[in-house]
Amino acid sequence: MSPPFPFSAIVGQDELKDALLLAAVDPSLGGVLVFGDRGTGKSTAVRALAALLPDIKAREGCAFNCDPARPSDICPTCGDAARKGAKANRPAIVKRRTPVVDLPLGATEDRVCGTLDLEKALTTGEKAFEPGLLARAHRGFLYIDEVNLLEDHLVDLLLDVAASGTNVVEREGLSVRHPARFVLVGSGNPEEGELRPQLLDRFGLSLDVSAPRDIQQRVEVIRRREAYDKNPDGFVADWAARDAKITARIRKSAAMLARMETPTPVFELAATLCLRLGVDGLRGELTLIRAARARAALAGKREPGTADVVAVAPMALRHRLRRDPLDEAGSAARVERAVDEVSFGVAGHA
Amino acid sequence: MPEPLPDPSGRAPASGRGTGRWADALLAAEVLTVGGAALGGIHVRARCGPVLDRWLAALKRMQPPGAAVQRVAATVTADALDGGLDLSQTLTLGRPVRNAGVLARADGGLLVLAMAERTQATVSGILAGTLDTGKSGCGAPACFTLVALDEGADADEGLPEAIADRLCLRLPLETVSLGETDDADTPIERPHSDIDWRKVVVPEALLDALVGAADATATRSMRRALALVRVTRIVAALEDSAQAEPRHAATALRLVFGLAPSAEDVHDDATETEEPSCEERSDASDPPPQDAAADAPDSRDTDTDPPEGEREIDPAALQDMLIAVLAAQKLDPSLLAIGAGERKAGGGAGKSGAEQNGSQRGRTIGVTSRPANAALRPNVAATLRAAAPWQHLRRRAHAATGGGPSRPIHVTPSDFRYLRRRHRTETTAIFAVDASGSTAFDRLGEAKGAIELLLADCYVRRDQIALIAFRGREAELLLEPTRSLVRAKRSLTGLPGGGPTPLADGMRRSLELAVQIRRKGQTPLIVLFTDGRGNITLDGSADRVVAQDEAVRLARQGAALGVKTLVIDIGRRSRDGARTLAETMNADYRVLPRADAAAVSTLVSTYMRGA
Repeated sequence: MSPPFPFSAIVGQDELKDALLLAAVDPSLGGVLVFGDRGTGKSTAVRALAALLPDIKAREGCAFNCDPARPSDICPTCGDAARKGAKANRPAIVKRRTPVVDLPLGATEDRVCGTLDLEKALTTGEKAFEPGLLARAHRGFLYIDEVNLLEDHLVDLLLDVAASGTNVVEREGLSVRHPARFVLVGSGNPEEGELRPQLLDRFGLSLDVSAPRDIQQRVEVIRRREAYDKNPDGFVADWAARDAKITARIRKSAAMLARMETPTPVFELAATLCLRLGVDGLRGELTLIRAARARAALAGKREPGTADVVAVAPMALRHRLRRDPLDEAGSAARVERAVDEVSFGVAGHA
Repeated sequence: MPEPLPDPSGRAPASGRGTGRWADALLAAEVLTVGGAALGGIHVRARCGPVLDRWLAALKRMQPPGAAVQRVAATVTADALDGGLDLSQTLTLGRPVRNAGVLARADGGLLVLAMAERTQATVSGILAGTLDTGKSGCGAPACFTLVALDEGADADEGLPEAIADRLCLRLPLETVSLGETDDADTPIERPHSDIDWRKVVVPEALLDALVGAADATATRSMRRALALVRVTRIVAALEDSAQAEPRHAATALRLVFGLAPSAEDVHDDATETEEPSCEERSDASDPPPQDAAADAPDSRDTDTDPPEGEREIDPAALQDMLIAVLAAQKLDPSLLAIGAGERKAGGGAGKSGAEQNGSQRGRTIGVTSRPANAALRPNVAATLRAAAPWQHLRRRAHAATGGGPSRPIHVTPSDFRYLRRRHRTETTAIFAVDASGSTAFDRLGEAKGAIELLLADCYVRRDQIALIAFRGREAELLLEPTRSLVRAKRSLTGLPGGGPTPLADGMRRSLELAVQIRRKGQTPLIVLFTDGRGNITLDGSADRVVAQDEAVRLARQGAALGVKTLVIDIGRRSRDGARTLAETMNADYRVLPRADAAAVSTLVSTYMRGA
């Protein structure tokens, strides 16, 4: 199995790469929704991101990706039952890759949220819980390609878990709850259908990608891909240093984020923007500020400025505008228009 | 070197076999065999028949011995693809028995996807993911070459784009007649090349040209450009050429976009020396070959001279070539005749009804001991509950017969219980709008408004909308079935109106579309905006009497097909025309002389929920 295409070797698609990095720095942002044509590198970027995320710590053999400091009760490896046992018997804490889990469109509800362990139930008659994809994605990323084609009942399930951070399973005689906090990354092609507004709203950032228009850039895409196909390991090794730099940056930024102050003008600008655009609810403002902080952290700044808010506004807000079937301009354009007006006003008063 | 091809010069396999479409088909099979999983696979458009069988047989003969060949129908379930616990085996043996999914079993070989035009979103999502990662859903290695057999009857029906985009090769076998496949009986051996195709050099200018050519097509996908470059390399490697040349690129263009070889290509292949004259050279980076080529283009020995490969072609020339071939291809999307569709619709209708309850997806509505289809997995809790009362008896029986070590629980296949599920089938509303005469502008405005309002609401119910407008000589499908507001807006802007009324043609197109939709397992609903007075016949001539006659005939056909229809009378003064038509068609009839978008939207919305 060849290693994934290196993140830093992806040509162009800066907005996409930025958004994914923001989500990696601050998982509470609420995920990224990528809409765009086929063959624009959406899946490649997400799979590449998986390779460069900093490792997480977990106990060996833990199927729930429990944080050793805050284990989940039902986990047979790190939970209550294990804790009561002899200390020496507990598995060691090891580093493992941040999980990036693919949620296939056809996944059954069982597979997603976990179910009774069939094997154990049928062969030994034991009632055990077999964790699903949500448990595997805990503390990592959950990637849904073609998210707009996802079955409605799965959408409902995801909505619930994404909002609460807890997966509650009440079925087949089981009653289980375990933490499932993950960054939701969805991609899709808008021509195939729209996304339900409820799910749309759960995504922190949203962006439209298209294939590069510039012929030289397109040739470069092909050239790198060819080099990668010819010798995947060699190619990945060539880019490893650059990827490692990004990994270090993510780790450092995430640490910085914890102690970051947010100046009042940033709050004010975010509020003004959301008011101007008529964004429903406070989720927009919250995401806007978080994204601005993450951006500042990535840039190595001590606190976010209004420039950070302006830079992330389109991706944080464009999917939260009220749908207006009669407005021909894209919603990104509307956000930018509002940003222009508002930021000019702020600068004028300052 | 075992040279499988009966070509004395050892050159192009294509030219060795001649230059027809069948030769191209075999070349595609060779390229596919050499490229393997790196190409993703091939999209074959063909009906079941001897041509397809011969091609598949040829492809299989080319595979290395022992390579897996798995064949599945597109109606395969997600479980079967990914594999899982084999329940009856597990119970019999008393230990977990897993069966490998189709994807894992196809690892390192071919996966033939039959009836690929019926692939559901679920299956196409899984396949696309596996093509991307080389791993099946449960993590088993699954690197295979997908051979998608697309029997789509017309341009609107086919392999889902999500898969098609990931397959590097296209092969329109439907245009090949059995007579052309004569040499299929000659033994076909495994394609052989001394050169690793990944190491074939593609000159800069050629790379530019290839990317440009891919750009010139409608798709913006980068995967097409990648496919072009890869196939160019393989074609060159098959000719034992270490460097890709323009003619390799031209062959690759045909294979990647599924184009028939044009007369020009045939000419090129046959008389190699003609080539320079029909392809312009660009300014090459290294002057010597360019000068030589410019001085004496026709005198160069094309077979042996290494600098031959350095000859450049103008990206524009290659693009022009592609566009020319593409334009030539545009002519053939054959429309399905109503008569042929009728038969299929009967089968389709039954299926769509059955799907509603025997579904594997959707909400649970109960438990049953008989699975709705073979692929359904038993529900464990319900199965155990069914088995519970028998445990005492069975344990005794088990001990009495001495049937091995005692088991904690005895479950037999008769205990299996299955969940019954129901999911809503999608409804597609076909708006057929009379856009003729003076009311055209208003009518179209209303229809457009209604469509946008409906679509703004459609994501909730996953319904789709299509729009057919009839005016002038014929009806036109302005908006293919979609639930995308983005796409609808794009096709609805600048819709023209005016002219006479080809009502019959509008009805025919609507019925054709309805039949197609039904075949996909969805429920069609026709919303016909008309005053019931057509004056253009199906063949486009102006004859009111014949036109009316045809309309009545089509209305009867519509009634026979049983497509739910709503006729909205838009005549200023309501006359009997539309009402009679609605009665003949078994349709509901509404008079809305001043329909506004909102009213139409509400009305259709009610019907769609009921449909």
